[in-house]
Amino acid sequence: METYRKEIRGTILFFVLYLLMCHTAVWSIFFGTSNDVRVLGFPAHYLAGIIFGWFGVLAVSIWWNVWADRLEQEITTSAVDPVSGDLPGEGRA
Amino acid sequence: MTKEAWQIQDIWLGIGVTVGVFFIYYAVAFITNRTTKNEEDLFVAGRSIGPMINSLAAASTWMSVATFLGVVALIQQLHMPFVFMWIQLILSVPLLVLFYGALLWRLKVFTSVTFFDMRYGKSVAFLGAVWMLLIMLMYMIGQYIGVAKVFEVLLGLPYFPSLVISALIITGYITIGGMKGATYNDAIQMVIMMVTFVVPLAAILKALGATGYWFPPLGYGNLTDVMLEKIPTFFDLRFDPRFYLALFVALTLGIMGLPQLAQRVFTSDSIKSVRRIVPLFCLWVGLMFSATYAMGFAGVFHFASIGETLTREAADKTTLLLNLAYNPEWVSTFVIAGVLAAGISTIAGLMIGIATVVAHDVVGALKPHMPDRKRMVWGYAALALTGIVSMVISLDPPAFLITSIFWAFGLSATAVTPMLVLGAWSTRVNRWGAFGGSLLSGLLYIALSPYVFKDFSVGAGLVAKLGYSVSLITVPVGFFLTIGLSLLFEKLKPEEAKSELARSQELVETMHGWPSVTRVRYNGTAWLIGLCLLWLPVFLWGLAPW
Repeated sequence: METYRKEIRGTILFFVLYLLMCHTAVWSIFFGTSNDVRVLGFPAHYLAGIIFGWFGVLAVSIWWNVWADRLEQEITTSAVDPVSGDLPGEGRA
Repeated sequence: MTKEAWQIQDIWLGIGVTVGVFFIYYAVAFITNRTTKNEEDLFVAGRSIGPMINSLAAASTWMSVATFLGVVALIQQLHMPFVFMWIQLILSVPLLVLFYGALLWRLKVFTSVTFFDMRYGKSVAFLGAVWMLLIMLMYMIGQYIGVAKVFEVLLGLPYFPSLVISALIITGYITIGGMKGATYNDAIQMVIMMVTFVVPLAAILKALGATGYWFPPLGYGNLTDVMLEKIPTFFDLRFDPRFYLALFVALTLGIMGLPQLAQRVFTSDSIKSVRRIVPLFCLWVGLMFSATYAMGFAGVFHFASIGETLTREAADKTTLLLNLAYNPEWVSTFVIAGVLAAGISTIAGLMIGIATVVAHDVVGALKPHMPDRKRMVWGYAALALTGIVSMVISLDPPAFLITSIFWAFGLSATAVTPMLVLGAWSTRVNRWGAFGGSLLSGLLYIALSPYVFKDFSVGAGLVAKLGYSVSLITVPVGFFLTIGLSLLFEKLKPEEAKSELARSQELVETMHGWPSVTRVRYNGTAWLIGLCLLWLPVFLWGLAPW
């Protein structure tokens, strides 16, 4: 059941990360906005929206790919009993 | 501003470029037609597409005419809030694949409707088909109108012949090529879009004085002070927090249920390919979106500089106006090829989506033993008819280019996403919950919108027209009903619910990749009740007057 819990927890984590990257207006509401705080010439909240909404989402997607590949491997291997070679739950389904 | 200001003077140059790109699209369609042997080839490209092509095709399907035209106009109207609104649209494919795309790929479904049939039965599948057809049709009409308007600019023809000519040409190549042809053409069209949007934008930014013009998405920061002098409120949030919450509820949850994007994912050649689409998709879409904000910024900057206020119609054509103002005319013809690519790639995805739902999901469900050859005939007929019917509906277009698209996203969030995502992650959601939740919340969304009963609508102005104010009520209701009715009918019809639960346990565990069925996974109810509790404050906030 550990792999199953990992799947649930991981999916929620990546969902939250995606939302944080793409809903930066909420950050702006929390932390306030100022056109005087500049990065690369832009107001910081404007640039943050563009950067996180592009490269942030890209980074989360790459991380999720790595995580999901490993999870798939775990799901496949954890399903096989190392002694008998049987799948757990076989015959009960 | 006169119409001539945004029309190309050298029409033959425009026609030459357009004929050239359509020649390529038709050539690809005819080549792929030879390898289309059965229904799986026609609707999901024989599940043979790798991640690079598929990511470009998915991005192309997602980039619509609005990317070139409507968005820039709306940035001019709404400034920064619209940028915030648009940014999260990149989450469509990532969330779709995260929550159900990869899972449904394992089931070898053609569309989400096929999954509804497997998971809940025919009644829910038919209801899902109705919602999806409505959403896709509304979406497609906007695209047809946009493409026809481009033909108006290109040929100087009135709207009616522009629409008929463009619709027939597009319908022809999509019908011939099916999903395989559309996929390779979509990928080509995405490359055309990126080149024809970003490269001319660099020249525009250079002419406006942007020091980082060589990287247009982020190269105009030095213009900020001048922009603030002209429009001091450009970077303001303007709307209250509830507006930004509504973006998540109506848009983020709506776009992840869109059938044409899901179907694109199902064409992948492996489950790893499905996952690999996501980062590549983010790369392409991020580039185009960021360039769109730059184009919007440039448009506002340019017209504020010359002291001109644009009409709504002229604002829609800002991308063309800027190119005609700062680039040689031949550049604008390539920009038009990009706009056309954006429109027709979206139409391709939607046409195939509608045809698959009609020919495979609905007709296939009614006539399950139909021979393969006859299925192919139905498929091709459905593709052609979809194009023609959409063209006829588009003859009397809605007022503003993309309003209906956003409204349709809210309907998707309300009536499709709950039963789709919950169906993939909970075995306890059953057909009574899915049917009742989807039907009642969907009808409520329509009833509360300003388009049916004006006095009954929730909110006013933009938030009502785009479906945001309504979604804050109806999306929670969709989750409440889907979960509540499912658990209620477990008590009311225990025998039927038990057998359905057994089937669901096998299907859900299998689609998650488990080789054995334990009947324990995805079986809890506590998290479903917790989810309802999370939605409760959203619902109550949505009830407060706007």
